[in-house]
Amino acid sequence: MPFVNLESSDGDLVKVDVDVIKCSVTINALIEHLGLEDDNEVVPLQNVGTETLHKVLAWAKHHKDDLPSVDDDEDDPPRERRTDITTWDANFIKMEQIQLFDLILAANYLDISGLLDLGCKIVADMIKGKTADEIRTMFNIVNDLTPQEQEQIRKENEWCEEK
Amino acid sequence: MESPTPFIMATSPLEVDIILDNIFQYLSGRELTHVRRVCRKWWDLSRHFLKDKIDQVPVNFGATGSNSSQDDDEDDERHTHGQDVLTFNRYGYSFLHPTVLSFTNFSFTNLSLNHFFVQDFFNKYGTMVKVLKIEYNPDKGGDNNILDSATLRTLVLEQCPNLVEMQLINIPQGWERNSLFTKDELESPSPPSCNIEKLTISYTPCGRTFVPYFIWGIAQICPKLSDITILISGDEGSKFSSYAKTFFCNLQDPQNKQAFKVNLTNLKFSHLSSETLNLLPNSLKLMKFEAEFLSLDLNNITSKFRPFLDAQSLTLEKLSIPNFALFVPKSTPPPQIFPTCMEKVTCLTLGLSKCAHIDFALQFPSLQTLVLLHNNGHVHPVNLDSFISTSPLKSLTSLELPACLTRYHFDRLGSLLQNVKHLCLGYQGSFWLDKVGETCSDLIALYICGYPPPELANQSAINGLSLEKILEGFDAEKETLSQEISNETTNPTFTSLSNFTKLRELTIHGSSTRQGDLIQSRGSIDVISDDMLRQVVGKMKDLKYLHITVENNVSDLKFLEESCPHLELCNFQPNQHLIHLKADAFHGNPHSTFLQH
Repeated sequence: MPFVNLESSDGDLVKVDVDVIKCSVTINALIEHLGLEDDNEVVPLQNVGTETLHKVLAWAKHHKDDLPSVDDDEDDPPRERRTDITTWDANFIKMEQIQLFDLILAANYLDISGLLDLGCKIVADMIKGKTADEIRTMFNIVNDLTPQEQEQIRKENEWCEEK
Repeated sequence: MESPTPFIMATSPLEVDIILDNIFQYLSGRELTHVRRVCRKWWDLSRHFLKDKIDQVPVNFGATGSNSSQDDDEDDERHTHGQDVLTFNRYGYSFLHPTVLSFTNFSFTNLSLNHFFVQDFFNKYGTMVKVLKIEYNPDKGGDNNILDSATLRTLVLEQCPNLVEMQLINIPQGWERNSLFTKDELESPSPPSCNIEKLTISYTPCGRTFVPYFIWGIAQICPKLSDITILISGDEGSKFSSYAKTFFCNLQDPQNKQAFKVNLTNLKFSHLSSETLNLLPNSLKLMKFEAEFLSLDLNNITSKFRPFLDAQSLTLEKLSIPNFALFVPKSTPPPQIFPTCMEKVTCLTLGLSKCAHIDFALQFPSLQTLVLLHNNGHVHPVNLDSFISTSPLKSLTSLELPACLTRYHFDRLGSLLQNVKHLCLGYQGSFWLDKVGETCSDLIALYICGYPPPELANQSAINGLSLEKILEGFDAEKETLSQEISNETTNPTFTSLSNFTKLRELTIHGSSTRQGDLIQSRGSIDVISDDMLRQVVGKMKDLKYLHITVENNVSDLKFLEESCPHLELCNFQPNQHLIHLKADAFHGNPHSTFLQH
């Protein structure tokens, strides 16, 4: 069974079954690009720390036998995305916000759609039921809207809000 | 070996567009209204999600049928689907079943047409809009910034090229301030133009001096405009004269003062006076002319009303003047204000006034619908006499009569009633049943008002009309009479509603009784039993519509299912204030203007 060595941004090498990491579009492309034949080749991942990489691999290992997701028709995206999360995923994703964000960034960089979706669902859950102020505080976001823009948004929102 | 292109890593996933996109898709429209306030990036990115979100909270938008009395199959089709198909909710619009989307008739209430969702909607679907109604109803709350002239221009000239009918109802000012085009555009080789044929504008006049100019502007670019309705709400409506003058003057062809630029066939105003009426050119060939309030002062001004009607007598089909105030010099006899013959008029609505006797058979030989109303509640017995003709009117099938006619009037009504199928009566003493029952047992629709107009309620001759009396024709006076003569006739028979066995539509609106000096609405003491209803309504095999707006103690209407197979029991709750049963949309609502009182 072919293996590949992944090098984290911390310089640690992790040997991974290619079958497990095939969920990552980025790594698949790198393997093809580098033409890896030798088990000792190293794929550098400058943007993924060791801890995050282990998390990604744990997720990938659990989901390696999942059926590939059928791409939705681009022209007609579903209005309501499925939001259910399996128990395993729910336990897996229990982590600090900073780790979660690293995981989402890694999933995005490695182009692992299943993991990215999972992380985004969790962030969406965190946003639900919060006001704009609460959201900014929670994620440490600076409000860069001018008073004019805020007024415009208020007007746009006005007819949407509960009478 | 070449190393991969370095990937600049964002420090937070919340700065990456594709990740935010992914997150936002899991949020509802309501949550997105918070998200878009967070920062500029979020605002930008959340926009297209907000548009697509469906929260199933309809806001005042639906593809609706028209509320006109003209029934056609299309109307029913629209009603059937209604908002099920098209929802304009707080966060955008959605089509639940895009394949069946075939609406042409759109109605917006309290929804800002300046809003980007609505603009997006019109950009995509504007070409299918044929009838557009935009309304503001302050009772329903919301932003009153519904429409401005720039939006209206885009709507009419760009987004909705197939617009045929436009209704602007009570929209706060703004939309009418600027013309839809500039002078240069009008003089350009390809001037702006649209296909609007019918325009309805309803507004309160305060500060609205621009409306006549707006209509003038519409007339410049709508060569097909033929139907104009201008309704002015509120007490200030009577001030319309000055606006109307501007309106008429602007519509006139500068080359020929006796011609309008557009080929008007239908004209409806809420208020007209002698002065404004005199501005109407006789060259108009109208098919419908309606004025909700018409006041003619013959004291000072020579009225052109008669010449105007004379000029319309070959084309006019509908004439409606429900509130007709006529001021005449005291010394002169009442004037004859209607032409000697208006042969095409099939529908006439008239508030009773002091004019000369009208011979309907001669002057309106084609009349099918006649609605005679008390004028602002004032009743002049002399006037009634002059209106009730004795010549037979064979074409007449629908008739509405004012309240408190006398026995004498009913005796003379026979010739009018001959072929009437739809009858609507204001409050009458119970003797009406005898005459009507005798003359038109073939009635298919009957509407009876059981409560006298407030201004008549003090008259001592009025005894009130209970539901019982209406249903059974029972009259204490008559009963005494029959007891006195009972030695000779063993079975006195009263005419009862049950005589009208061909009725398909029956409405009883209100009931009353005299208590001392006061006429009371019967309220809770007015009870009719299941038995009584069965006896009366049970004989009407064809009944499709039954509406009784009086509290009653009918508890079980199952028997009606047996005796009236066409009647569908819906909305019935025992001991409620009304029985409202309806089998189908038979003529929609009963033919009546009493409902408005």
